[in-house]
Amino acid sequence: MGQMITRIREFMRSGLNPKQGGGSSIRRNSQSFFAVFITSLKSDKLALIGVVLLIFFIFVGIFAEQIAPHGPRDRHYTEDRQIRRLEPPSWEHPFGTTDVGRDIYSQVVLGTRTALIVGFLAALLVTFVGSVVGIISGYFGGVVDTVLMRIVDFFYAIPFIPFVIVLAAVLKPSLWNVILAVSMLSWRTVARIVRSQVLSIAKRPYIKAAKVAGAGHVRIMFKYILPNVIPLVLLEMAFMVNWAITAEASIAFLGFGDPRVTSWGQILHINFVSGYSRAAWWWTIPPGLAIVLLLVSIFFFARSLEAVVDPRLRKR
Amino acid sequence: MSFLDVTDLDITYTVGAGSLKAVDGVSFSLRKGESMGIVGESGCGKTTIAKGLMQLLPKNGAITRGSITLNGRELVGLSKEAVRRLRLKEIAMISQSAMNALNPVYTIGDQLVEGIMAHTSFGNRGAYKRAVEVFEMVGLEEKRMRSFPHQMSGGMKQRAVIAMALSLNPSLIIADEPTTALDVVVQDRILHRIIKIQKEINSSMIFITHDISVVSEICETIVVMYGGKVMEMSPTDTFFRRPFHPYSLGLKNAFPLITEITDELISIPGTPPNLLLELKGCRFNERCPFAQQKCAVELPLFYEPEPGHKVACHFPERVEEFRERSSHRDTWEVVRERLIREYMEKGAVEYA
Repeated sequence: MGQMITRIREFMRSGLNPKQGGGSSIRRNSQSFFAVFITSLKSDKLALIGVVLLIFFIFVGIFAEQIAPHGPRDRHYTEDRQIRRLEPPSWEHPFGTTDVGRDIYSQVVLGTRTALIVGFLAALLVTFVGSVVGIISGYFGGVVDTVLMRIVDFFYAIPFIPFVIVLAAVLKPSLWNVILAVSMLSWRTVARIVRSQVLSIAKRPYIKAAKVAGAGHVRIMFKYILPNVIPLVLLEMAFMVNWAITAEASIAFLGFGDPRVTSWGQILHINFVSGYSRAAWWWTIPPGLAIVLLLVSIFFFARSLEAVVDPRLRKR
Repeated sequence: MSFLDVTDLDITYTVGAGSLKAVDGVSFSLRKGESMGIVGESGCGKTTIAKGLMQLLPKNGAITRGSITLNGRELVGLSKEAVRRLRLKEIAMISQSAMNALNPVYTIGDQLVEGIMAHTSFGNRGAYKRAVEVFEMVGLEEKRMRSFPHQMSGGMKQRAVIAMALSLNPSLIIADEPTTALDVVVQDRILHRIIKIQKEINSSMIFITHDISVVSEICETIVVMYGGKVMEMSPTDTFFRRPFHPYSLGLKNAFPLITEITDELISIPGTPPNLLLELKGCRFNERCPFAQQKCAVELPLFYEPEPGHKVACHFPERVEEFRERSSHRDTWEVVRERLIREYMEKGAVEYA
């Protein structure tokens, strides 16, 4: 596996290094994954904004505990021992306070980490399971393909929110269960997309050659086919991050999230339940805006990835 | 006994409408270091022979009769694993548009090294050294080892694949139209490279093509196939000076000589026979301008006008007359008219 990753890295890098390709004349059509991505960032301003925003969010997520001035559940009091109830934004509390005197700014900052953890972990799990199923299904075909695709069909039929409610009732509500629920219902999409791509790759001459040369199934699938679908898998993973973040926010907003972990959906949930969602705009807007900005930044990032995978979308 | 002996080889494909003998009773032998060209039109069984030799027939194809012996070792009926060991080391095949067989996500060098390591006890370093050697043999620079397939032209990719095929000094090279996808200049250069290397490592070669001129240039023996059968087999220079079979005469007409400028080439009218039908006589009888009653019912046996030259025709004694008549356009036009007439009659019967 480690060797394969270095190979992929080599593959991505090859377009950047003119010496490797052997002269500048072949540099133009040797634009590889990473090179095309950088080029499209230069021409596509929205993608650039997306990447900058995403880096900002990741930074906030990593250093959330250092950035947040208060604990998410700390109650704040005025000098005369009164709870700072529903205070609008001030220097002390940039996003104001909740009805029980908690600092919203700290909650939003800490919620960033939750959103990113759920987003990336669920997406990793989903892409892993999805691509393994997709590659096996597309490579073997026949009965294996039919069985796996019917399982995928089955998962397509399960509605998301009711499934999560049942899962939260059966298992304890926790962040891991949210990740599990999201993963269980979204690997299907990745599996289908990867399978369709593998179907065509598995019939190419170099795969036949590998078979004739005596390579085993596992070697063919993961050494020869997987690197061919990696760009597609990466793109799909970016979309899955988005989907997982939305899903986590909706679950938390409905109150099925982990009560001990601060998340944007949870802030909105408490805001809604407390009945102040209209009165206290500083309580509703920051988590809402954070969700939107993070989703938009990942979307723009994924869109520029898509241009790399599908040359027809590239701007000339 | 020669280096490679193919005796009475039958290869049958099972298709929806029945079974089809793509190769029918083919025999030939090859000495060490000899190169042989197999020519014939599309669908005459050339590639099927190559695949049969490599044991790479598709699932519905099988060797139903005959034997193939390489260095005295029988290849028919060998286990998959045994054949796999033979490939690349003993028998290597350069197939048509083989350049598509390169995996786009690995460098050419990696793919070469992998192949070498799979068949030898070479370590990474030794395999790399060997790969660089064969790269130089086919005229590619060492730095090309680090290129990805999409960074190279078709000719370079084809040469890389040829390098791969030759990397273990195979004793038999099967080249199945190795240069068909390339332009004439590149084709010529690559052909000469293949021949040079073949001489260097003293391996035998079977060269499959539909381009007679290529065979005339590089092969010592020529085998003309038609409808799954060998029509004529001869040393190349004899063949070009004194072809015997009417089909060979027709083929010769279709290739112009640079010294004899004619206004239009004479082609052989008609199409190859449908191998799904049971064919009794000479496979070429329908399109042969000299066909008699006998040709349609009786299979001609080989006649040897001189040692090493075999012809499957009923009338080898009339060859002088055939040679004279086949150079006239009218001879073949008669066949064309007959075929059209037969076709129309058949159509009329079907409509009635």
